[in-house]
This record gives sequence, structure tokens and C-alpha cells, in this order.
Amino acid sequence: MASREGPSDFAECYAAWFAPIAGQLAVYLGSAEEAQEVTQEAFTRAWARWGRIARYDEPAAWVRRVAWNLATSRIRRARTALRHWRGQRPESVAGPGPERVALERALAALPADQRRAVVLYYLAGLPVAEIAEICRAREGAVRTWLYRARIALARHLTDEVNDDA
Amino acid sequence: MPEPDEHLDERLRAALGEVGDRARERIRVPGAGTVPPAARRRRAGLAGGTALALIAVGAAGWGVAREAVLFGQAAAPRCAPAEGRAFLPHAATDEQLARVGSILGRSPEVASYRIETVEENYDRFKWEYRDHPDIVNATKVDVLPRSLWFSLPCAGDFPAVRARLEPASDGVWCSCVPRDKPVLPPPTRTATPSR
Repeated sequence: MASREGPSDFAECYAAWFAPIAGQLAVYLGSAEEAQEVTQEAFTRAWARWGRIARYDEPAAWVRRVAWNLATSRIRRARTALRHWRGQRPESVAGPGPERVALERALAALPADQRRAVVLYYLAGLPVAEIAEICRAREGAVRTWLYRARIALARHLTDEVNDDA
Repeated sequence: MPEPDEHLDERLRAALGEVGDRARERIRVPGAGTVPPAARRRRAGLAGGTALALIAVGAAGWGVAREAVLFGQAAAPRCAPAEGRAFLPHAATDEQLARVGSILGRSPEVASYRIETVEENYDRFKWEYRDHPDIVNATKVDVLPRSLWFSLPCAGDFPAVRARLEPASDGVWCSCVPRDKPVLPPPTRTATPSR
């Protein structure tokens, strides 16, 4: 994440943060469409309270938190369906090699808590403490999720190296 | 717990960064101008009581730009045929399944639909993950959802059908793929909607 300082103007905040937040959520949810929906909903909620949120040090953090809460609620409600469906989703952008597909599949197969921690840590660049706050979990739990996720994902990185060799 | 391997961390960050970049390429930004109308609808209560309905109504305001990027398909033709799927929780009753089927049967956008048993669903799951025995072994049949497949001559109609199905029963979740995606193994139980 390039900057932790959010703009105070709603349109600027929207323009600066919609794509980054939605992109991270797309990795978590496995769907760009779902990610767009929850991000739009989060910004809609922010707009209704913008007078207050704009005074925060980091208005985008409020939006990100709401978007992640919405996404987590959605994924909990349909966790098994999503997990199953991911295997049937076609690749919508041509070009990934088999190792990248394997990594995406491995990411999709992670338990939701681990996948959420991975995306927030590696893609959003948030510290463990902030991830714990968003996930309403202890920092130790977040570190455990990251540890287990690393083990699961590392195998696919190893394959990637072997394939390239 | 051992300390994280910094080299592994860097490689994961780079590899996942590419995954994130690819996901971000598929994101279409509706624009800040779409937010106030959605917020007004939300405040007026037109969007319904559930978070899902709120999201659906907010998304409806995206207009034509969103229709062009259905299902993450950036350049999908508006009327490409597609296969939709409605999932219900494993514990859903036959009555709930029939209610969703009835809605599909009355939907003019739907050419046909079929009900898939949990066992058929499990067979499909095992086939799709045949190269990942660890995932198959960790997934028991009793965690899989019940589901219905439906055929859409025009993929652009999926949001309308989904908006009709998801409020029909608790936990209904819809998704959709282009028809050129092979669907195996073939289902064995079929139903034809009444017209």
C-alpha cells in the first residue's frame, strides 16, 4: 500500500482506493464481481457518514474495514459453495502459467481466515496488529494463520522454481 | 512457531502480488457518482433489509459499464450463453429446493434447469479436484451445498435471475460461468421448467 494517508474528499478517496480495496477482496473472494459489489457497498455506507469519516486520519481505513467485514460475512454464509465453485470458474484473463494457476488454487483452498490474513498481510501490506483488529482476533491467531498459509503456499513456489530450472 | 523465512516471505509477496495485479485488472470502478443515488435508495429502504439485498441494489446502479464485465469476464459478449448455478445450504429442505426451482421455471430468461443431488455434486467436486487428493480427502459430502443448474441463453440476464433467487430462501447463493466451460460429470437428474 503506497500511502496510509487518505484524502479527505470523498471522490478523491473513492478514486484512489476503490481499485486497491476491490482488487485485494477479489483475491480473497475469488470473484472480481463480488469484490466490486462489497467495495461499492462499503463506499455507499461511507458516503452516508462522510462528514464524520472525513475527519479521520485515514478515511480509507474505515472503508476497507467495512468492505472486509461485508466480504467476510458473505464468504461465511456461502463458504462451501464458493470453495466448490472456484474450481469451476474459468480464467478470465489469458496468460497465467500452470504454476500461477496452482498458486491461485492453493490460495482458494486455504481456510478463509488464513486467506484473509494472507491477502491483508502480503497484498494490503498491513501489520499483524491491524489485521488482528480487522479480523477481531488476537495477534497470535493471525500469526498462526500466516504460518500455516505460508506452509501451504510455499509448496507451489517450490514447484515454480523446479519448473523454471 | 518458527520465525518466518524472510526469503520465502519475499517470494510469496512477489507471487501473490502478481495474483493481486491480475485480480485488480478485472476490477471495474463504477465511479464515485454512482454512490449518492445508491445511498439514497438505501436510506429510503428500497433496497430491503439484508446486506445482500443492499449490495444487489447498489450494484444495480452501476449501469451499462457493469453489464460489460459480468462474472469477471472483461470482454464477454452480452448475449453469450451461460450456465448458472444456485446453491443452497446442505441442510436446505426439499421444499426450499423446490421453491428455487419453481422461480427458475417461471423465469423467462431461463431456458431450462435441473436439480443436482448432493451425491452428484460430490462426484463433480471429486472429479474437479482429482489432482488434489488432500482437498478431496478433507472435504466430506455433508459440507457440500445442494444446487440447481440453469441454462441462460443470454449471460447478461444472470443478475436479474440472481436477484430473484437469492431472496427466495435463506443462504441461496448464485454463480455463473460461460457455456464453453466443460461441465463434468453430466448430471443424472433433470427437470424442465413449466412455461
